[in-house]
Amino acid sequence: MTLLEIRDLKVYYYAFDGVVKAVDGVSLELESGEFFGLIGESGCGKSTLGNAILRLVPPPGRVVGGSIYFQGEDILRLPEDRMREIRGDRISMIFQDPTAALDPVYTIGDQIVETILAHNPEVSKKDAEARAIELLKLVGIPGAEARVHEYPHQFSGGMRQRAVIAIALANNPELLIADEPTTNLDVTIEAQILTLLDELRRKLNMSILLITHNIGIVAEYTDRVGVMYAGKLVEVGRTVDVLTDPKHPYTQGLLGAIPGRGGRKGRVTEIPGTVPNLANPPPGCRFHPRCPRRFDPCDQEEPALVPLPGEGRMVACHLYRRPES
Amino acid sequence: MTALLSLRDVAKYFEIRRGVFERRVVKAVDGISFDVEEGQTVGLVGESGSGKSTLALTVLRLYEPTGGQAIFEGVNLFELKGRELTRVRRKMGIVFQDPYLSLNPVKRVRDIVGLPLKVHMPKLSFEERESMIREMLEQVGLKAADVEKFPHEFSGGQRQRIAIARALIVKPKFLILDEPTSALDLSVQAKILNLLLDLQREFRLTYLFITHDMNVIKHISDRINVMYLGKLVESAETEELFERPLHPYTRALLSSVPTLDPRQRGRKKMLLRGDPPDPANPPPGCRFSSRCPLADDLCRREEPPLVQVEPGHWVACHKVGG
Repeated sequence: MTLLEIRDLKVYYYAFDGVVKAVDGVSLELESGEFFGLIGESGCGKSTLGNAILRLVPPPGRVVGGSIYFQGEDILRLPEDRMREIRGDRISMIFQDPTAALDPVYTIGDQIVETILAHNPEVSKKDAEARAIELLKLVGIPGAEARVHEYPHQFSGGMRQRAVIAIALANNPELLIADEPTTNLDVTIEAQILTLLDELRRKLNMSILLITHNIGIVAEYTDRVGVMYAGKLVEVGRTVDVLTDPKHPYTQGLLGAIPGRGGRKGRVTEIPGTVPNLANPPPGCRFHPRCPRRFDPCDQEEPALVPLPGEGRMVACHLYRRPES
Repeated sequence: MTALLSLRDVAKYFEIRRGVFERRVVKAVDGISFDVEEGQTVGLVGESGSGKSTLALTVLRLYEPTGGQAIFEGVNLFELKGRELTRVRRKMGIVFQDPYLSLNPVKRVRDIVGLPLKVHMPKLSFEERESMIREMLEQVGLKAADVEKFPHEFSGGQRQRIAIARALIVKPKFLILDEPTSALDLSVQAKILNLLLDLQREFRLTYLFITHDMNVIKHISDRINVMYLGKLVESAETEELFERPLHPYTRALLSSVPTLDPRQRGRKKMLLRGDPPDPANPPPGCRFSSRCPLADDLCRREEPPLVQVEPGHWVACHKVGG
């Protein structure tokens, strides 16, 4: 079942020196209960996309087009008070830096209770506190009964991210957006947190939209993956298909740039050039100036996302328009 | 092969004062010994707080060592003073993780890259210096005309090239690379790694490469040293370490690295319990004992020594070898 459907979403930042088209016509569907990875390098628009789902794009950014259907309702057209009912309740979000996400002057327990009561005013404070302890246990914080009364500074980095997850899950959301949730954490802690998220997803039957630059964690944990480049979704499909047989030249380049796969001390495959300025992106396919396989139409015509053989496989590249490929 | 740099029992402790009476000592680097062979790349891995950057700064005498020796070309760096130290330092350079913090924003590239020349080769004329700077910029993939620019005019990857040019301008033999690609995107990282490999071949450089990224370390290192809370827990050649990790921490670390092949994700992962302990208050005995699945009473009581279990493969664990 489709939980979230993004159609032709456009988010632009009206900056001093021009309009930055951070997300420029992205369409994407998320299924109920799936673990979806959205991958791309800095500035490709992946975080902006995540923020737009919660209508939290900071000024000077603005959603300028498209729609986002959540369980059939276009949330971009909801009044703000209705949106507040969804935010933190049916859709939650966790970010890279758990220290910034937690309020230092309230206990962890207070912050969970506040989230519960904001959306369920009929719940008693006592019940909310019991639920807070239950949530801390759920996210694997030992000694939850005592730690619920502690402040964020008394938690380690990994434990803080667990606490943030507990807050995000307080109202049993259907969708959790996780924007680089483990980028600040050590790799042994990262494995703990992602394994936890995956277990919780199954247990609570929620969908996770994981936004990351780390191909490894996409390969390890997600069911499907979308690859973004310069504000566009260039490839989407089952993770196993996309990562073992990438179709878009950018995806191919990105996977080739991972060190440690070929011979030791050999050259790592580079993607020539640099990412374009999104205030003035190249015409046609935005990847064409860096693409080793560009041909005639690439610098004039923008490729549409078209289906390929394989389950839900889509790619936006002129190479796959020709009958022989 | 000869060791260009030999570390013996290097220690760096920091004293933390809380209030008037309480003093605690953080043993950030606590008795580290290993060799760096000439022309090789030696990797140093460990998680945050393991002491790997402190070790680097101590070797360069940017921190005053608490103890031990660092023998560089037969001279103990920890005994040098004043002009002698400056002279040896010319042979060593460092590149830091964040090229946004490591370059002075109000200086032009000319002054940033040229500064080591002013310190180490003060007799050069402006023209000589200028031509060396321009040549160096081209060698790291920038343009000679970039001397006029300021750091903010460059992208992250280009800034890291400036930092590398600054480190190499006085033709050092030895370079410490402290997470040089961790702040960069994958496609930019590929370019910087290739540049470092090219420069190593061209200038016959020896690298000490610090990172927490196991893919990067596997690609670039000949040998790898694994640190945990100020201690060296394992040291081996790269292939040996990846194929036969012996210390439970190394095994957990390698097992935590996400596989790049989604078909392999069913494999059993060795997940560690808990977080790394507070470096100011490590557990007694083996510092890993509080998270180790194999730990017993001996581990919690006695610190395991670093022993050689195979030629070139060293491990500090009561449960391995010995």
